[in-house]
Amino acid sequence: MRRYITNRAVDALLTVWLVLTLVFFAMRVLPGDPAVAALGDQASSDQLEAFRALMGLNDPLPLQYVHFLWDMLRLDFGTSFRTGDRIGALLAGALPYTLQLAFAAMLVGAAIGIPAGVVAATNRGRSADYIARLLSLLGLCIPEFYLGALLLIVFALRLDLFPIMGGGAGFLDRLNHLVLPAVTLGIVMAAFTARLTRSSLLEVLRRDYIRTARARGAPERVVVWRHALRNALIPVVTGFGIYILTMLSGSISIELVFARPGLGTVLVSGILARDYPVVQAGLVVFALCVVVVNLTMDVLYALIDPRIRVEAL
Amino acid sequence: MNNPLLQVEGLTTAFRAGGALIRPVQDVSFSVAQGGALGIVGESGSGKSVTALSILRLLPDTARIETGRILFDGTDLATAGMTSVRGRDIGMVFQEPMTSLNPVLRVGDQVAESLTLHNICPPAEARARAIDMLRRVGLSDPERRAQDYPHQMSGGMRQRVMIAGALVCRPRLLIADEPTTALDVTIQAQILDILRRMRAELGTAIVLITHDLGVIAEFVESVVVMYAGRVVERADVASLFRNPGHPYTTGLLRAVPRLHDVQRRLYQIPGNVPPPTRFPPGCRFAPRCAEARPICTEHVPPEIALSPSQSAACWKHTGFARP
Amino acid sequence: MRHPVTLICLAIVVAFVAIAAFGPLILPQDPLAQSFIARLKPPSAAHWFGTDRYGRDVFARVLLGTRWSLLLGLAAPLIAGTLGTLIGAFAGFYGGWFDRIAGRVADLLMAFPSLLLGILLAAALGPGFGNLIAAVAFAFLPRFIRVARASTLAVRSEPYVEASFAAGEHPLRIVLRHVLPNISGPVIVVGTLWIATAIRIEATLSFIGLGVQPPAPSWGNIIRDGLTNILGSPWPVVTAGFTLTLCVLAFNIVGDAVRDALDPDYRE
Repeated sequence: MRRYITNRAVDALLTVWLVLTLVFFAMRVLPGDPAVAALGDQASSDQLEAFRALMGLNDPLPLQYVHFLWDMLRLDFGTSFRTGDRIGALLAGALPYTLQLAFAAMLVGAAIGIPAGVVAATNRGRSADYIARLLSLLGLCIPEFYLGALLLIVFALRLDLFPIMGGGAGFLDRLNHLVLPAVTLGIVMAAFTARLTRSSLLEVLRRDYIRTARARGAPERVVVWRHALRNALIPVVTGFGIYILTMLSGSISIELVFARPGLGTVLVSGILARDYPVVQAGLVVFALCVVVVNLTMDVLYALIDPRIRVEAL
Repeated sequence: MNNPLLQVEGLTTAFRAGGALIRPVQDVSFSVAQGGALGIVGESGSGKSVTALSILRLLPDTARIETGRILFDGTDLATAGMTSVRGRDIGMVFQEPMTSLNPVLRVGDQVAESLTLHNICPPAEARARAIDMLRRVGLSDPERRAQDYPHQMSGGMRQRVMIAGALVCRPRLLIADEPTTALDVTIQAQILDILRRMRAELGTAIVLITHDLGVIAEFVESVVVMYAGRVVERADVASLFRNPGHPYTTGLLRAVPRLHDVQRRLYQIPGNVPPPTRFPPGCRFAPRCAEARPICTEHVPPEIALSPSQSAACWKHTGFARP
Repeated sequence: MRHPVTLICLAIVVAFVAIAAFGPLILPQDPLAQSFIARLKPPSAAHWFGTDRYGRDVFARVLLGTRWSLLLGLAAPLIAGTLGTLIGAFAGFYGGWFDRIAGRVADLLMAFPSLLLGILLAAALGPGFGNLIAAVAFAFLPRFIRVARASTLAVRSEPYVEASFAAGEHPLRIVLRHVLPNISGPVIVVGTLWIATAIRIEATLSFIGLGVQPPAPSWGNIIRDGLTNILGSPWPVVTAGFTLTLCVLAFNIVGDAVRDALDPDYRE
């Protein structure tokens, strides 16, 4: 168990290093002057030189690399080139919005997806199954920002049920602002969950212990909900890591659709403003999120599945 | 007490396989007396397990019972609510103890499940009865073992748990489908011993399905021999061993390993059981039978009574002539 | 493969490819021509998908945008497939430190959903279509390395390959004659499965502002542009998004069918 977690932690650190290195070289070594990119074509050479000195761009590359790693390790993201704000504070302010969105989307997705998957699996080959599969295929194919825009048009613009944009102030208002973005991502998540629940449940329903349960006199309801679903949900739950990351990448464009504050908004506004320390910090935070989620899921997986626990002891 | 506990009449079970319809069990009949013990014997692929699953209607979605009646204590199981019969009146033990228990439920809860499902007693008492049953099947420290998960147990222990779960409601019939096949030889003997003891203690009738005639000899009173989905011989156990009526039974008997001539190479019936897609016409055993004549490959032999307690479906008993 | 839905989707895919190839020749209107009297109009006979805030014909813009989506949809898997095959085959064939590093890096990067990795890399590289292709191709690379490496390992242990070794055949010849033909199947399967995702990523990145830069039209930036004027007219968003979804759906179903046809083990 300890060795398993140590291995996973080493993997996580390696991933962080790998991604930091990728980001560093992608932003510096590839053609294009970051100073020009940040300040625009019209910047004077004095401005460019000042920028380079400020960002340490005149240092030799290996030195820049070490500085960069050191700063990121301390989570010191520097200041925004445009506004002069501390980027760390900017990200800390944005993070809760993104987490709330991802969390709410997961809840919506699980609440729709798991029952839909059960209905599809228990009605295999019948019309309920086809409808559920068709909808989940649609949910997997429709880009989330388009789905968000459609919901925005129908429920915010036409029906005027929800606010069009922003993050809201105060608990209820924030909740109100959360509904459409969370439902959008939740539908995508439900499509994943329904598909996985269906195939997993169908697989489990063929197992020997399901026959045993039937032989004991368990009615179909008990067979599905007590015996099969618990087992079928193991891959669904362990797949949550992937979902969280999918929600995370989806949140970037969704925040844009609903003009909602969050990590994605910070990153995208940094990209559009060519505010390159902000972009760099945003990328690193997203990468860290991925690594933290994966590591957490690995540890949780070891705790959930008693068989892994025993083997590792 | 005269009418049999279980009566299977003309059972044919069909499966959809690809576009075709196959019948791994065809026109099978037998009966089990109250408190009796019947063995169903045959190589794998002879339709024994499908017969057992047909009785409890535990067949996969692709299968259905085409014809035949299954009477339990005089009641047609087709009309009875199957879920109320399963586990309460008829218990079943399967071949694969490693995979037949639910990995995420504690074994005590699984053993007690039939009791709670059939509302036989309140949960607390069900728990106590389950622990008592675990003790009876020979689990040491059953209170603690009841808290275990299946993966913490060996195959032999899991099979004991399966037996405990099948018998906890004191059913009148236990169907045991190759209960020892997946286990080590020493464990096999223990499991058979437990089944025999439980039968004596609870008065449960047993249908024992096996490919091993050695197991049959020490356990049951009467035997049904199946080959390629059909019954080829039925007999009391003494007649069967002394005077087998069907060449297939003879072959099976010769294949049983004997303690005293270990040097001799074990006999094997040449060839294999054909898959249900390629059952031959006439007597299905004919292609593998040393005594086969032309009539055997053309016409299905009728069951010929050899004595009040023995009959065999073989043309040799009519002198290879159609009656 | 002969399922009617698959055939319909195949027809849609062919139609999209034809539009991408010949679309500019049959454009109903100039996709850049602005008209101040016909701004934000709903769909009509003259403008099937309506007009945007500059009065440009959205249908013409969507037609032209097909090019970018399909170009990236095909180029990214193609580049990733070629590079991934070379790296994976080399790693699987020779083993050693190169194999360990390539395999490990591929595994670590698999932790990232390809969309997120694509966004992160595109953001690091900055806007532009070339950068976009590089970012998406790189995001796909680990998956191709993995498939190519696994297939190479399987082929390498085949008796006829071992025999070629024993016969003293040149390793490069063995790779060309035995390994590459054998691993091309799995790589093509993976490649077709990723076309739909690549198209989605292109649209997402163009929507965010990292892909095709306006005024050149792409489905993603048409939707983005439409969103800023959604109070004026929802039609550019609705129509361009519908086209995008239809395209992703069709490529997805055709990709699944290709996989089922070439890789029977994968079937449900």
